[in-house]
Amino acid sequence: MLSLELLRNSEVFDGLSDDELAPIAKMATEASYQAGEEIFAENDEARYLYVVTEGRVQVLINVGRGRQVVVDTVTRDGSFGWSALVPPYFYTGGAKCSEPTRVVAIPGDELRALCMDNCRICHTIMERLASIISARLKDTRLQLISLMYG
Amino acid sequence: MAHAIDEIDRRIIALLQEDGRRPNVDVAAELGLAEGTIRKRLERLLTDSVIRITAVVDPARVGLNTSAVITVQVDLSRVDEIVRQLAAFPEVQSVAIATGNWDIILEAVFPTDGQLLAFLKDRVSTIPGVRRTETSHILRRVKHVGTWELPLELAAPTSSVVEPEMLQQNPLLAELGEAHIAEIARKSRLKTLEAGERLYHENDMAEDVYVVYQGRLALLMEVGQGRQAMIGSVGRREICGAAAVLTPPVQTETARCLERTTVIAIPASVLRELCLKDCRICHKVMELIATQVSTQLRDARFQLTHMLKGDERPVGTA
Repeated sequence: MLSLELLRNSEVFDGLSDDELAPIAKMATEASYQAGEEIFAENDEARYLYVVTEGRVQVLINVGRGRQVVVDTVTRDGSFGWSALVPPYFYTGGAKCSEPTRVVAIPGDELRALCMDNCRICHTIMERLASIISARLKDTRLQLISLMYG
Repeated sequence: MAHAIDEIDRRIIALLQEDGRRPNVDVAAELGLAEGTIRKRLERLLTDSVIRITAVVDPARVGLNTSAVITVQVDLSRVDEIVRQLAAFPEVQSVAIATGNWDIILEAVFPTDGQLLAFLKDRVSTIPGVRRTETSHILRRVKHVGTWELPLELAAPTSSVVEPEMLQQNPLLAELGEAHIAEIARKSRLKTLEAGERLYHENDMAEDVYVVYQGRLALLMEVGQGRQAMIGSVGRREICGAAAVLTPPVQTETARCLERTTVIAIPASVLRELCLKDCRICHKVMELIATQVSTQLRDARFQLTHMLKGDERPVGTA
């Protein structure tokens, strides 16, 4: 089993006790990527939720003609790939490492099943998740505004 | 005692004023509610005498072409007897005692002007105590009591009963199931705002999640120097103010009514309580909120993509 230490300070699992983190650590796996490596592409089926434990991941969206823009940069304890928990379960952006990176990958389907069994875990995670998405939404809107008015 | 009516009652009344025989199923379809709800509300409005359903005669259609408002000055000590006699005349549609120069105001209809003259000369002026009359010939009726629409803002107190099916119109909420929807409906309330009014302000503490029942709201963000940018809008059946169930529960935008708007305010505390009671529901509620926010994020990114086309400069939040 993965060390709980890796998840304890992550933004998405904030508020969970060690007992509650244990089943999540059990289903999770660690992975390493080189700088420039792609973790998943936009519109891929969203199987995993990721927590960064080391390095830097950029979330990119395609803007056409083969070009991409960075809409989010995720560092240690940050999470990405939350489309794995939100219907329709397709990644809304691609993820690419901008430096050597280590992540913890948690399978979305298993985490959703755990949610059905444990109310408190479910509530905590989903609430954190919605809050994180909401914060990203605010950032994106500010980006938009700065382009329009800036 | 004043009867508490709400926006739904007002709209039921308005539809029945157009056609008092309109079937409940039609009214229900028009308002997006269940037939049973309309029936129950209508029974209450009728039993409490808030409304009456009656036949309205159009005098012109039966040859009564002359319509007049007659004001009468009388010896006030005899006013009761005079109004009783006036009200008994078949030509008279309404009689009222009033303050001011004229003590009695009556409305009456006649086939011809000759009959109006005879009525004034032979019947009104011969009643003991009548001093003087003044007659205004009605040329055209623009609005009358039958088509008068009840202004909700004047009809206080206003109740705010939320019917479960109003919540069920939102496809995400509908998934919560009837029992839970009924509980949420019981603890929610209706709120009606006029065009231009603000439902909530960016950075306000968020306590309620809103489902739009009628109307439309603009979502705005501050862009500095007191200016605001519209970042989207929500209409019928859509949710706004989802920040109330998030951390921190602070509004991320301002919501302002683009037209007269009625929203269903669901206290976030009700959703939280439900969450603690039922795991499946908890998952559903949070999932629907996350889905809602993530859809908005996708829209915003799409817009961003659109704006950045032809712009080589990458923008990041890091």
